[in-house]
Amino acid sequence: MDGLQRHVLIELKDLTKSFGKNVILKKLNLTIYENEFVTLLGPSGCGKTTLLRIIGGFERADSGAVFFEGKDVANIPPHKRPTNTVFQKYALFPHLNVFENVAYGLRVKKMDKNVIQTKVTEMLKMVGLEGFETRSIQKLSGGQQQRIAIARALVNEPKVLLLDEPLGALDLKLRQEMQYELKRIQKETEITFIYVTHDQEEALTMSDKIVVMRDGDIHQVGTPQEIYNNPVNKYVAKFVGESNLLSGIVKGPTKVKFDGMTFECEQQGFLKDQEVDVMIRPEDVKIVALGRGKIDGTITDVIFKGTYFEIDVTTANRVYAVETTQEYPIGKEVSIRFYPDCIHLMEKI
Amino acid sequence: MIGTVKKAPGGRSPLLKQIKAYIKRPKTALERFKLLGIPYYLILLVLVIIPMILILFYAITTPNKDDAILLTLNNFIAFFQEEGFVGVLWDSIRISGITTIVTLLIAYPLAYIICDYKLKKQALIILLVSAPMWVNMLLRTIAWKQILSTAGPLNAALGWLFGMEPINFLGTDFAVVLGMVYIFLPFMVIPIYNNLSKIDNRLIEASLDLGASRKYTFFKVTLPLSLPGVLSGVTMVLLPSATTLVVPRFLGEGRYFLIGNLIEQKFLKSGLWNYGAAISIILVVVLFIILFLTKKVDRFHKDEEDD
Repeated sequence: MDGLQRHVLIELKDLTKSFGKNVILKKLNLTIYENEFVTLLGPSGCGKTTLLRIIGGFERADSGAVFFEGKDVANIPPHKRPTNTVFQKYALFPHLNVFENVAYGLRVKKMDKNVIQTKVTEMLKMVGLEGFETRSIQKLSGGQQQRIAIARALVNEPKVLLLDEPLGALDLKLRQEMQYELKRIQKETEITFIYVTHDQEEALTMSDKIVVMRDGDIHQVGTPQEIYNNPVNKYVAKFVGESNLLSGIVKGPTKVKFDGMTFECEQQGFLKDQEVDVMIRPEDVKIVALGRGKIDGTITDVIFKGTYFEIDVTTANRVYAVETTQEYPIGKEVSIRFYPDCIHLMEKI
Repeated sequence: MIGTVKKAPGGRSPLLKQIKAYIKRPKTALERFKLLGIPYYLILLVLVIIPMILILFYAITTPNKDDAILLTLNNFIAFFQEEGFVGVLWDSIRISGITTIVTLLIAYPLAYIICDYKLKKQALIILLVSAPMWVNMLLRTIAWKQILSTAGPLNAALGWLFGMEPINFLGTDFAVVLGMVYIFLPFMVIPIYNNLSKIDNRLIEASLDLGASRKYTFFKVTLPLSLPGVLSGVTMVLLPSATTLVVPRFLGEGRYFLIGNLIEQKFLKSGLWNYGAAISIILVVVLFIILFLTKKVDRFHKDEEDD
């Protein structure tokens, strides 16, 4: 995406919110651009849904401000905001059929009958549910209800679509299908999506930008690659993908010591003798013949995962998780090593 | 209880053997569970179904000198021919209709407001709404008679405030409807409240999110979804208020002779059981027609039944 031409759509400034004694959001700052697929990623209770509800106008922030295209929207009620929401468990109107559910927002705006007909038909086609117009909502499957909920929101052509864990109630297969579907719809409509989830796989698959949250704080904002390859701290590393996490001490501009050995690494910007967290992704750990690598150990567990093996290598100091396409017998003595660019150093938290 | 059936002692008919075998056959868990329902079916049979059949039986027969039973529709024909009786029926329906509408107009907003409170407060308010039901209905009606009488506190208050001459409220539509509304209000509030409190708040949020105002949301989402509650409230008020004896007797000053009083008169005073039964049946039919029409209006409820 061309960074220079991007147009700021939403800006959050020092957003704070608490319910009673519980502080939900702590002075959050975030910028969201036009036509972005932004994912708020975090465990339950991290404040991601509250943040979404504040953007949608269902909750008020205690302090701080939300700007839509430079305008403070604190006093604008939900029905006057340029946002539409796809709710958790869809919240479709049970007393209306598929057509009327999708047409709801257009009827509110008192649009012409023929225009409504055209728009709803188009939208149902987009979500792949043509011909379902007169069906009752209760007779749809979870995936179909999901699509209707998206259609109902998108037909209003919002500037921003807010999605609150929309795939949470679906089974795995359907969830994966819907991830691609959502990404396609977002590209087609060129609408900004703000997507709330606790599922890292969903976040990695769909997002242009991931916002990793914890306890009301934003830990890191970045593209899926940035988040995966360069997590800022142990928490982000643990939340996105599998990893070997350990403590180390910086021994020079490109040197770090752990497991009683000094390793070459690429990371810069830490002080000598600073304690850091070290992350090594399992796919970056190489198993080599005994004596050929840096650390010796024994294969203690092998799990077949389809396209790769998940292997535990027990060494003197710890167990390393390794992902490799080659199978090793349990009990075999091996060595492991890492390339310098695979050793990722992070600030301690 | 295991499959094999002992040979029945001689002399029993094969049919009886079959029945016994049927009763003693091994039962599935569901079948055994269903057996638990038997006492309730019996109660239903003895207290509801048999009496209904008896009423119907009385309504379509006529006593005869020879103790023979004659089928006849004369009881029904007599009702429609008797001067004033159709009027009594109409009066009953009119009064119960007004009562239902007034009760609904009070109960719906009340239930709606209750739902906005926190859960604990909701329970307390519902308790208060239903509290009068703990006091005997006769007492409450007589209390209203005192309040509404010319020498009662209402007239005293009106006289003191506005210097009005005492008015006799008793024997007016106002007094009878007031008494009925007072007695039947909880029967309307509770089903509507139950229904409203079950509506998912996210549906309201979804409507607001789609650009609808609060008012639009109420009429397009909340109201249609609460119609089943309204319907059961209407049923619970319309049916008993059409047949109540106590309220018209004490607050009607003898000017209100409703269908309930008519049935009472035929049964107890005149001993005309067959005629009384016929009147009951007519009333049931009329009320069912009214309910049926109400249900027709309630589109959502109908949709649910289709499922």
